[in-house]
Amino acid sequence: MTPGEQTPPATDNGPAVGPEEIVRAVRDFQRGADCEKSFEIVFRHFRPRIERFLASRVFSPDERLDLTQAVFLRIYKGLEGYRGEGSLEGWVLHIAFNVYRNWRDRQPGGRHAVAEIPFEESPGAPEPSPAAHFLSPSATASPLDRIVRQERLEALRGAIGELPPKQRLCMELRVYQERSMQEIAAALRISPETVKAHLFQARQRLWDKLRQTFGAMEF
Amino acid sequence: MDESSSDFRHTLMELIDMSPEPADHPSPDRWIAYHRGELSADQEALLQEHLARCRDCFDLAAGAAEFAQADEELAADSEMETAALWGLLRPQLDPPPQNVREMSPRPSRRFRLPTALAASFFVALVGMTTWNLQLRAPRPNVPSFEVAAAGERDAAGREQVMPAGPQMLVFHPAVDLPVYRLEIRDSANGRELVSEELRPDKDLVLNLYLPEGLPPGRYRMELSGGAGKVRETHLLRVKHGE
Repeated sequence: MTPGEQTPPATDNGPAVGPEEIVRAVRDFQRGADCEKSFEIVFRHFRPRIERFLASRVFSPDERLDLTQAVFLRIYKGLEGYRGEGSLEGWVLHIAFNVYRNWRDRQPGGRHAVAEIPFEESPGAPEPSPAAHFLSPSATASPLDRIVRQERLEALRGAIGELPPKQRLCMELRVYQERSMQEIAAALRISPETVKAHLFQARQRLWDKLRQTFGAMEF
Repeated sequence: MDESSSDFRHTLMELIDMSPEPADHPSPDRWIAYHRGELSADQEALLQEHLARCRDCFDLAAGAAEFAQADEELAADSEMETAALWGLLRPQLDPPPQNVREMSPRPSRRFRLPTALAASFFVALVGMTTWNLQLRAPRPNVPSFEVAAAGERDAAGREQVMPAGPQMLVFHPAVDLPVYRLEIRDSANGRELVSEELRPDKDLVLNLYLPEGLPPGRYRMELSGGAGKVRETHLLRVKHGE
């Protein structure tokens, strides 16, 4: 692309921008050849992905718009220094993620600000006791408690070790990372129904082995 | 001991925390390749294991899933929205360095040194003024409470005592991490009162302002790293104010 060449206006329904065109636009931008037009090509290529990335995480349209602009301003400022060590889309994703993370961490509740989708499989299960949740190695100070805790750890380690990998992963993501089934499904590239099935089976297997050790298992 | 689902949850978290924290975080390109199905089954399994323990990578991977979608699906996006957003963005783009040089010719050699000195002086003046204004800026008259480092606390073997009311909690973490999570729980019932993500300031100190303070009672404060592993535990007693 030369400085004098006309870029079609943004309202045109032109063909999708191809990878070669993006590479050329970045090269033109870095050479200083009509930076605005070169950047517009990059912008048009990545805008839908960035908006989709933010759409599932930032619920306010105004904030989403602000963040989208912030991402592209960062790309604009950093594009000259992009050396192509990784792919351009990976670089753009990194910027988008950092902008999102900074925003997320400023929200009340930080990373836990987004509501989790509840998964209630056993409605009759007892309500979790806050005191029990609070138990920790230092809280359980007596030797007997330490032995009991160690036995529980060993029992759980053994039972988890016998779970099929996908069931174990689903359970760990559910309990340790506190993720929704939809999130787990997207992360493991399986359907939410499969996640649900894995969780159900994991719970059943653990319950068979650990019912004497743990009174209830809800996840 | 009360048998409950929370026991199970807590034991599982403890078990996972005991395993080594993942160190090599996959790059965005790797996550995109993962979501495009370009990796071998072994490589996929490794990345999935990483996901289970690293919260930030989980979020990054979720973003990669959006980026990995085929371009055909993106074509349906409204072109009007693209044009509108470009209209908003365009005025905010600074002129690139090359254009700046064209628009404002460099001063002649004769004036370069005085110009550079004047510019340096101006920058220093603005910096000093900003710093001064920051120092003079009205701050809430809040006492700060220095939470003793884990080693000191362990040596003393006792809980720390803080008066009730608004407080600025100041932590000096023993391990340097880019981000921490602080959870404060009521020792009596385990109820979580505070769960905040904290980033160290330039002095590697963590500050948390509690405008309402904590009600009198005993508390347990846990500082954990990005992967959720508890790094420090502090016991705190809040006593009634004078």
